[in-house]
Amino acid sequence: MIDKGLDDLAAGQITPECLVVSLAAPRLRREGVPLPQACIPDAEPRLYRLLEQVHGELAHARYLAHLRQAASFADACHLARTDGGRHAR
Amino acid sequence: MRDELTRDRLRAVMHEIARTASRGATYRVYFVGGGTAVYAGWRPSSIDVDLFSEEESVFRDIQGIKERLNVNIEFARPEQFVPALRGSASRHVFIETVGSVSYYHYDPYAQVLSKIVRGFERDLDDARQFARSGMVDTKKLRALVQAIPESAYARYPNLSQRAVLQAVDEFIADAG
Repeated sequence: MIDKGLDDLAAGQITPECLVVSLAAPRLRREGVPLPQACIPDAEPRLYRLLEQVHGELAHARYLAHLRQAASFADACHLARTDGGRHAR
Repeated sequence: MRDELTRDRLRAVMHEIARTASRGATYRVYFVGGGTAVYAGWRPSSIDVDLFSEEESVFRDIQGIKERLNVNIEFARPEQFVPALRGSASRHVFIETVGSVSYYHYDPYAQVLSKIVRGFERDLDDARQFARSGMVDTKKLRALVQAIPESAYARYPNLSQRAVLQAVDEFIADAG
């Protein structure tokens, strides 16, 4: 998801993945993920509205799942960085 | 399409929870995250309201409330994501009582810690507002986080004491 988000961000496409990268940008930078300086503003509400168009009633569940996935990715990056990559997959 | 949670809608949620709570008891309900930020006026709206209560019967009609008010509701508390801070129970901030339900902002220090640790854009905006508003003193926050026993991290394998302290220190340095 993060890889696709980075690709979409570079290509100037607004997708759920690049909105996730944008809303999580400070944390991803903290964990050493290289991001462009300018990410998409107001990414949280834009992500929710985009998911709502596709998933309707399930948008909130999908939105929360995206946030959890981004946090989990950042946690994994942190472990990989601080543990010499022994836990990285 | 669900509506974003504004302060007016949040107040409507408060009144609906109070109206539909099981009778014959009093309850405490805590705002966490977006609810606190919107109620405090730090931002105009949130995607959802995060609520916590130790008495589940207060939420017996939560599905109906969600549908009638057309808002997103999630049950969450900071300790799902970060270790408990010493004295948290004594730091909840009273908001108001509606019917049999008393509303509180969940311990601001616990809220800020969970926001700093996750570290998303809006989390950090909210955390800075907690500090600016005076609800959180950053020196006290540092001391509370430092006092978390290492054993408390056993329930949070995705975290480490060192990483949490580092994130808090970076936040405090940025917040000035």
